[in-house]
Amino acid sequence: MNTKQKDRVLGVILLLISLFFFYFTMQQEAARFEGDPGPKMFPLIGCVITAVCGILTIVHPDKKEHKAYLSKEEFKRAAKLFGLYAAFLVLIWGVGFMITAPLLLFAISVLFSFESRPDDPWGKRILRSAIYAVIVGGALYLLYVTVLQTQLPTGALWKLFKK
Amino acid sequence: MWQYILDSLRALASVTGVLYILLGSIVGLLFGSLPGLAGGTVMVMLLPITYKMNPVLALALFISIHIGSTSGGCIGSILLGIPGTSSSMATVWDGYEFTKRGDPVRPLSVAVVCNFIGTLPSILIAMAAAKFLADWGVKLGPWEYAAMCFCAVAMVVGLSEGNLVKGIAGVGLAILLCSIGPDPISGRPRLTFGNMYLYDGFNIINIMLGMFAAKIILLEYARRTKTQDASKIKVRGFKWPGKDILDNLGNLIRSFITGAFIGFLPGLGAPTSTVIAYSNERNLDKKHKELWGHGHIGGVIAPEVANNAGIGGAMIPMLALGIPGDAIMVQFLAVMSIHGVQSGPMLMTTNPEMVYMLYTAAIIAALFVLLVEVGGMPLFPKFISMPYHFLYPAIIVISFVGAYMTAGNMMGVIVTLCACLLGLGMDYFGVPTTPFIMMFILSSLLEKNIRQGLNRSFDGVIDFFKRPVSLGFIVVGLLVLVLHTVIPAIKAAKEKKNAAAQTEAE
Repeated sequence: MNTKQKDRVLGVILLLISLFFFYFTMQQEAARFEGDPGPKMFPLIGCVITAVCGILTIVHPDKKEHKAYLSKEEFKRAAKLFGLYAAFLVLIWGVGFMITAPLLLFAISVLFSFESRPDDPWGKRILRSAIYAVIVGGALYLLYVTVLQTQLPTGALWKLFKK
Repeated sequence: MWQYILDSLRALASVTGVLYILLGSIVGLLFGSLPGLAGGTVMVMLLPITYKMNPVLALALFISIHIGSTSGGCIGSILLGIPGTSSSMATVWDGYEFTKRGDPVRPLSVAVVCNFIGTLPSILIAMAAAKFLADWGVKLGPWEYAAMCFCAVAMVVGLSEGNLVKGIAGVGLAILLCSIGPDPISGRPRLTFGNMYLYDGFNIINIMLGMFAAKIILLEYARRTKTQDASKIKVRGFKWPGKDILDNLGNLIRSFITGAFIGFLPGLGAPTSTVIAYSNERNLDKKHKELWGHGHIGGVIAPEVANNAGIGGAMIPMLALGIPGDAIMVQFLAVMSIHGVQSGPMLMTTNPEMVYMLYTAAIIAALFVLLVEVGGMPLFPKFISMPYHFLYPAIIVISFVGAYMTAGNMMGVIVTLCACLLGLGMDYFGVPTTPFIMMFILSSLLEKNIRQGLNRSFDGVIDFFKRPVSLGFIVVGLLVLVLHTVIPAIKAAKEKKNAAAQTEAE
């Protein structure tokens, strides 16, 4: 997508967001105190600003070509890591911190080691990341649970099995 | 004042206090020196951990990280030619030339001393100025506070170079997202779409964890950023740069004033002040004009002094008026509010101990950073060679656990993930994130003050223009926006005219 098209898409997105919020803002209750413009005022200001910017971006898109934000391959790599972020969300809910943290530490360490140590053999890469995941995972558990006395998620799935 | 400082010293002079400040200084230095990461990332990541901490120690830890990372940015700039933080960008231009010539010790030694010279007086000025500003702040009403917030946001929007509309769009989006949650006047839920998890709105910490920590690491992986190998660079011990400092005393003083003043202004921050200080000195130094950019020591002094001089400057509006100048100060506000300390003009009256404790911790941290940098200089190449496959996984896990702790449920992690996506989307479409974050931070304060101002006014909106201070801030804010629209338009028209004239001549 070139910059001009990108700006037009952005303009449309901004307009849609503005309309969405406008619809729900208008359903809010009116002011309760005399003289108070009420809870609708601020979101309405936001709607107007966003809509005006959206229209301006559509009408006057940037004509200069800029360097692509990410190449196709870089997008794929970003999606891969984001997939791991999303997996963290699902896993920490399902199986809790104790299992999720070392797993994520291991997976991300292996991913990054392809860049930082490209010549390392697979076995070494996996062993190093596994040791790292166990040590750092354990240290974080001690820090959060023992030192900071935080209640970390224990896993909703285990609770289901117990029932 | 002196009594408070003595009390603060007593509070911090424990083994734990000293350890926290030392640890914060080292962690800050380490993260500040690593290109791509900055102290802000580590501070956001550690914010949720401070929930259970003693507030004095938490603030001491954070100020040490901030000072350490601001100072550490020069390490990457000088040794690799890649700035550790955006504020050390100008240091690359001359600092790296010394390393190429095989003499990294001279610029590093100068930078280390200049960092200290920049930090210490700026904190002392902040200590002196905050009281006056707070006394003045008590006399202000909601009209002035609303105008101040508007001015702060306008200044940040003005920085959206070349695309003011997108900067303003970021502000609009922040207003809409901040409108979700409790109404700041009545406390009733607003725009929650029937979802009970939205009753409290979005926590700024979750937003920052997503937009900074999670997004930065995602981009580092996508762009295949490699660990920099600086292990071959030999750095011997620190060498006292007395002569260099004395020869550039005028440069040092001018750069300090530039840094402290720009640091005080909301949103502009160290990256702007360092470039301005560097350009000023380059233009003023007619004698060595040809040396600038090719390894002139003045080119290291100017940005490094300006960079650290902004630390004290930025603390003044945050502590005295409750208006943070940048994202780092927002994190301080967050730590303070977590521990029940509300910043603003009343803080100097209700909790002066906390304010002076922060300044005292900053002074101690500046000293520790100096000592660590002087003693640890030969280890600097090792700092920047730290492998990312050990560093980034831990940052991600700590950030997501922090997101969970902030909200107390999975919604925190979901918001962080969405903020990461939003940050990526904004980057993709060229919408600057700084105005968005600034508006997100000031939104509730702005809305509350606008509505209180309107409630208490006789002439509605006109009252905002009738009060001189309020009018002053509104005019400055509008001027900034108008100038940033008009100047690029004039420049573009001139360029067009020149191009047309050139084609005609050909």
